[in-house]
Amino acid sequence: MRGDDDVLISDDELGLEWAQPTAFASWPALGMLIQLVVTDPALLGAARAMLEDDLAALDLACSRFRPDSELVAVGNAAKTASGPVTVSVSPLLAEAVAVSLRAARLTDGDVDPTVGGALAALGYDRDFAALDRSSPVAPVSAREIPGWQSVAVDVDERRLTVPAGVGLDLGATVKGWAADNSATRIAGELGGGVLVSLGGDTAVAGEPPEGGWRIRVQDKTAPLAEDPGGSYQVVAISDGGLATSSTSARRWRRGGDVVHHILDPRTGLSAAPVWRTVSVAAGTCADANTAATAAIIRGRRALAWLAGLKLPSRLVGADGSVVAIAGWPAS
Amino acid sequence: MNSRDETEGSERDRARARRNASYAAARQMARAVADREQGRRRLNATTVGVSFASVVAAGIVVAVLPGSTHASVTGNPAGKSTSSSSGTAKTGSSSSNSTPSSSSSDSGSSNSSNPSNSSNSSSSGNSGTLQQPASAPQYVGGGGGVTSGGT
Repeated sequence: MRGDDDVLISDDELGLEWAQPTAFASWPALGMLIQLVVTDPALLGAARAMLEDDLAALDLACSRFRPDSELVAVGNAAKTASGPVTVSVSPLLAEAVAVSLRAARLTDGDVDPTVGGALAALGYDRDFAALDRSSPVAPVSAREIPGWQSVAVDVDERRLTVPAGVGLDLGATVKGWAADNSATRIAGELGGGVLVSLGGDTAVAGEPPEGGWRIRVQDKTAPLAEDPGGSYQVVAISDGGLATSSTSARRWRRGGDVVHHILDPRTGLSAAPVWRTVSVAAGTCADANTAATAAIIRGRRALAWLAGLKLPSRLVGADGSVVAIAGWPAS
Repeated sequence: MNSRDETEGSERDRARARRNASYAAARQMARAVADREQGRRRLNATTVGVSFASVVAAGIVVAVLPGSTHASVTGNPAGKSTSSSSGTAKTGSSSSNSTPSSSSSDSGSSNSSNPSNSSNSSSSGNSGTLQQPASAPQYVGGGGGVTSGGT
């Protein structure tokens, strides 16, 4: 359903600098800003309808906050269990969990989907807009994370096994993965070039516009018309995905401590804010999303890790200094 | 009919029986694949009223069944989860006769977790590393088309 905040206008009206006609739509959904660009303006309506369908399905399967979501049902089953629980799940949730486990494996556990309980313990147990961001109660303390190795999923058989009491959070991977899927599906079915950005995690598919897809990387995803604030840069990509993780977004107070939503699974606490913002380009948005989140958690060690993987990255330090590595362009 | 004829006849019968069994297996497999694909299409068609919540509720019924839930789930080649004693949990259907309230569970009998070796992903690839982009981002300056930041 479209709301008052919708933007559905052509790039000409926005004064954007695409090198060829494109059409752009932006609207809030699932607690984030959705951005959609297509190279054929005539396809914007159909593309948006497809993306909205995908988002509705994603929310029902993977939301940590909807009481009727599959993920919440899995958590409820685990909550009352005395041992591992195996449940049948939809293909969508099975694959989303598989993607999160792959991310965990490829980051040596830095990106761990079993941090859901710790996030809730820090107070992030509802949609961020509804969060009490200055709660004086319960100072934060370290919390043991069950660990991604305790989760198993069989995508073909659609079976998910979780340990007792686990709360899954797929936030570090699901947006990028969903952006990949939607961009690919829309471009495949409608043709033309498509950019899908879910909360700033951006996937592109099909023929790009001349000069590539222009993306302004900044601390917080926001409408283009808003001042980016802080350090920003405009780059263009032609394939794959680009994702940004930041400790500047989704911050709140808990018992006198300022916390944010990117947790270090080794402590169950918010990662040390070595990097304020990390943007990564990768072959898929899911991989970019994974790498950007892991970099926040790894701190200084992220520089060598990202360089070794040859993932073009832009890291903004807590002091505002910018480091560009592995082919990310200097301004 | 002499003994040679009888031998050839019984061999023909056995060959026919093997062929029939083979055809039946093939038909069964084809039906299973078709059922599976139909179920997937239903679940992928997100706007036609498929209730994921009911799917999960069905799955939980599987989890709380006594005995080896693993066997009951894997026993059906079509990939459908079917409980053996307390109704049917039919994954991939738009309706379910399972009761959501059964989600309170003590599934001590369910199979222990298998570290994610069994996980796989079809759409994000199974590559053993994070994929590099085909080309690095280019600095363009000026105005952007979209924004990418933390959320």
